[in-house]
Amino acid sequence: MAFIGDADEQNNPSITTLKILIIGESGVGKSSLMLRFVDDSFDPEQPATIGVDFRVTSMVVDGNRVKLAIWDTAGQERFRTLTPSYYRGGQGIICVYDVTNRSTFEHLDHWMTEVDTYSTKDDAVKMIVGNKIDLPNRVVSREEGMKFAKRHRALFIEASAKTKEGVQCAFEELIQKIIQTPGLWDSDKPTFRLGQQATGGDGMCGC
Amino acid sequence: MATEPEDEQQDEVFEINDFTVFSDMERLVVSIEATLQEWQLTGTRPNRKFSKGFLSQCNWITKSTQIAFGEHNKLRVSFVQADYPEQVALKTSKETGSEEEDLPALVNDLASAETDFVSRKNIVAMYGLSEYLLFSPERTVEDQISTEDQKNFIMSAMRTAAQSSECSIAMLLEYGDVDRQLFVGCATHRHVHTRFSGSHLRKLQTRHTHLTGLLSIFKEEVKCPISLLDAEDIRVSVLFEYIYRNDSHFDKPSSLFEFSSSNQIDVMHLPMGSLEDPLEEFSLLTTWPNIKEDMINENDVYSDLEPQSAFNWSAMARFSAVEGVLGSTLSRLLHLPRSSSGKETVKAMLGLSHTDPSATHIFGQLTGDSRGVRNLRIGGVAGGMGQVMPSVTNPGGIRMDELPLPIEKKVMDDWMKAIFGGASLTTSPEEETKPMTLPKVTPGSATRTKEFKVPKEAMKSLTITETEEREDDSKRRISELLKSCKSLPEGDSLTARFMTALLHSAVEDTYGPVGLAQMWHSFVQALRWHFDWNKDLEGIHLNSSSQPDLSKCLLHQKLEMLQCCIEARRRRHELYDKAKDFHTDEFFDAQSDIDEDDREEVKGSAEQTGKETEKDYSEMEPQGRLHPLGEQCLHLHRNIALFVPITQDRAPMTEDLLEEHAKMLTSIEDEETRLEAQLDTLNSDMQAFKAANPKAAFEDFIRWHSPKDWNEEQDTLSERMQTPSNVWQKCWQTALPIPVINQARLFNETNIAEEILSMLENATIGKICELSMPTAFALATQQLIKDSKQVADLIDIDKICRLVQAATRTGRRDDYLEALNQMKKVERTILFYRAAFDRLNRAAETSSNQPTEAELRSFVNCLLLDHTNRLDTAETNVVPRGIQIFGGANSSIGNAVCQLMQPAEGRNCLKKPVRRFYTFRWNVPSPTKNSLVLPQRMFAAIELDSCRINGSFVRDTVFFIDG
Repeated sequence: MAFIGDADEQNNPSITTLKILIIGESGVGKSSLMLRFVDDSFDPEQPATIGVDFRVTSMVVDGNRVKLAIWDTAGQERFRTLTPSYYRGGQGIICVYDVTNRSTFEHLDHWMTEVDTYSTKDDAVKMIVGNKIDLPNRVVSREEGMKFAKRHRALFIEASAKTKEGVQCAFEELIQKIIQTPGLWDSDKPTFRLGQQATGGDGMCGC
Repeated sequence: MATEPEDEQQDEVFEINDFTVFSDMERLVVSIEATLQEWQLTGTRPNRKFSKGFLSQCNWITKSTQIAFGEHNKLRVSFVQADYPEQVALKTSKETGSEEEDLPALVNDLASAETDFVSRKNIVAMYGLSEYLLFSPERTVEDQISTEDQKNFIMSAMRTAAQSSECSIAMLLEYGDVDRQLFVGCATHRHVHTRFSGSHLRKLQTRHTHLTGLLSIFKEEVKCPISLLDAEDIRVSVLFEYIYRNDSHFDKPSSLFEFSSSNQIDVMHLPMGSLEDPLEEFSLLTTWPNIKEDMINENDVYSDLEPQSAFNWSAMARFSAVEGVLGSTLSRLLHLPRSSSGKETVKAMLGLSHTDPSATHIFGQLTGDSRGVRNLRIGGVAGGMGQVMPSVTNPGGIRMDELPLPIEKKVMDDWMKAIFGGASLTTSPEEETKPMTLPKVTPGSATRTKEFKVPKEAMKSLTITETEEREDDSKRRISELLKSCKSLPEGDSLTARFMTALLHSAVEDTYGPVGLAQMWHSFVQALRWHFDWNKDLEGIHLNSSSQPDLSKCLLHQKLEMLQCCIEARRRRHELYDKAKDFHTDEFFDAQSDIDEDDREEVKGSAEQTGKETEKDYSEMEPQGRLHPLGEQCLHLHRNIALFVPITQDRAPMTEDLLEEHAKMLTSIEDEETRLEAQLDTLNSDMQAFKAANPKAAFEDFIRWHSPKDWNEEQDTLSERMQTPSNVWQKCWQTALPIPVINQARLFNETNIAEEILSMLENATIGKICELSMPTAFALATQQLIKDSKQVADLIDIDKICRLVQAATRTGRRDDYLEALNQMKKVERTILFYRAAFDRLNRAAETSSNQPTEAELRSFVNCLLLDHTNRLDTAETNVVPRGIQIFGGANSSIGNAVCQLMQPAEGRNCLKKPVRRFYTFRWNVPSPTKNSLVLPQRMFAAIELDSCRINGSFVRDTVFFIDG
């Protein structure tokens, strides 16, 4: 599994595009995790996300190139009413908390309920990420995080967007898992749809 | 003669053994021998004694292979055997040591009455065998055995192979036309030789038509060498079939077969039923098994064989594959998008507009311009419900109710009333209270007329949770599957009621989908009426987030969205009522009665206010406060409380809007622009916050909006919020204090509603079908679940649920077709059940010996199962088989059957059997009186225009001199 540049797109066309969502309380480092993974950069002054942001990248899993559309959502209460709509069609959901802030961990329950309610893929792969492990004032232990992930049948990893630790691994694990889950991504091939195709512009497809 | 396959020859190099085969005959014999060896059918077969009824119940094992015949032809060789348990093979002939040793196992079968009228395998009934080898043409035409020469050739090969490999199993050859079921064959076991022969006649002689005549044929054939007085008795089994033919498909439609047409208002049940009666024939099979020949008489003038006197009764039903109304309506939905009318718009179909594409174009333009829409809608509202919009769509100005349409106006009004929970929609605004006060009317307070049942209770019964007979497990599974369909919520809803009505209107299709178009159009008009008068859509329940439920189908989402619009507008009106410091008319520009000039004026003043506040807004009166934020005070003014402002709701979105929105965001390459595209909500919040807290600073806003970015201990903003170039800060600096009521609307419900309504109004028939499919299929599944309780064991509801769930999710036509096929099957089963149950129930109604519902239900279920099994077997059965009626004529079921076949008035079907079957058995020494006593057997099947006679005659080939 490795990154490849866009030039390789032609040699190895991607087999699918996966939609990955990053959710969690505000300030836990969702955008930082995404930027560390996609651009390998870190900015402590990264402004709080407004609405949604996203990045497109690609990676090779088991020799297959997959495109990734990573959607980064805002954590603020006031932005939340719309976030569930973005869960639609997501094959992977990364739920982030801050190991130095217990309330972000305690709110995970709320986020998981939302995922279960709004995700249209029954078997979307969930991952819990405990971020900011580089900071000295940790208050949520690794065991607590693991216990939570186990209860929700999710993948679990602790990471630090600042020091890079665990970030690459988290995304790789998640993608690998999605690719290995039958029916999660391969049913998304273009399918024959009902009705006239010419009217596609209004987005009134049956599915 | 070769005794081993030719392959062996290469291995034998020391001795010269000639195993070569040259002639076709040699090759055929070798192939048959090889097959017999391979299947281990050589040598003596074990004797079998079958318990009563075993052969008619058991499974039949079939082995089959193909052998070449000549250069181009192929024969199929099959070994068929009753699947009997070990203990049935009572004794091998070696163990007994008696004279039976010399008799082949098949002699037992021939002598036994157990093979009589076994219907599953024709050869068993015809020749009395429980195992046999069948040689039949591989291809019905090319390999047909049509001449006597071909027949004899293969027979010779069969005999040779049987002799050389000591195979004593009966071998039969199928010849002639497949439909005629002609067989000839032989079996050889040492000196006992059995001949199987048969005839099938299309012209009958008198002696072929009754027991006496057939007996004389049998006697002639057997040629008993001893005096009849010394010989054993001939034993006979008789089976008569009496048939009730249902010729009156249209005369007596049973009440259960009626389905409500669009004239019967019923928003709770989908159209179900059939135009034709599926019951084709009902047969009573009466059997007199294994009785002495002299006990019964039947000749051309007299018969002892009265059905009531028969020992065994069984019944059989044949159904025609009628198409149910539900299935055909659903398949219409599937096929309309591809038909010629699929591209026609609803309006064109109803003659409300010319098919001129510019008409829709104009309309599209109008929707973009809110003032135009207003006018248009005023026109629509002014006339009340039953009217069409003038000018644009109907230049002729024909009123909707004057157009010749399949559903009468009065009936349609009733439909709409029922769909919208009984509220009357015909009242024109003049008679109603003014629309401005409408928001105060609580939802559901509209009066309901008595004649329409409130659909809630009835619809609840549709959900399978009330199916008691099912196990909890499968119940839960089905319920889960139904819930996860991408269609409509469980239970009652506006969508469900409308879809039921729409399907009713699609039943009648003589003039194409006009009824469907009319129903759709009326519904959309009613929706418009609801929106115009700010009335809640009864039966659309929004979830807590006031967002359309994206896990439901698009049609349902659109209706939810419309309800969102209605609610949003009402909330806006209420907000206006509260905002006292505001000029009255401002927020009623959405209402039709506003004066044009007023509006302009108001707009102007609002702009002016904006400019003024730019200079110094910290001294402004606070506006649009919701409640204080806890005990918190402003960061820079510790004496002023911090207020949460009244904010605008995020615009709700249906999946197509959301997709568009997401697409729009992805299409923006530049990060900055993308951010700006989403700033409106933040900006709106900031404006509202500033208006509610005129003296507030950025820090105060963050404390409310993103509390995690406020470090309480250090009383500072988080690192990321402190950067001066931060978007949040920039946005804050430019935001003006504007309370929500003065802000640009983030969610323009009027536009959105207009978009939805005009999309629905201008839909093509194809689009209607496409939108309706998920809901229609889910509802139909619920209906089938409810209606199939009586036949639950015969159908696979789980499968339907799975297919429908998949179809609603993928939206693929093929998936829908697959689901539809299964649904049609189930609907047919339900119709068959009703046809048989209803008839028998009615027949026995007047008599004292009436079967209970449970008895009749299980009996009819058996009939249906039997019918399905019969359809599944490829072979045409010579002998009918049925479901046994225990107790015959005296049982309650027997009584019901009797009443059905022998009605007080009308044709008596029990007078004369339509088909008759006989089996004769006789143990005589054959061919001479000193020969072994061997069973002789003859089977006869007599129909009106054909006669089939088959004999199995066993001969002792040891030569005895008559003495």
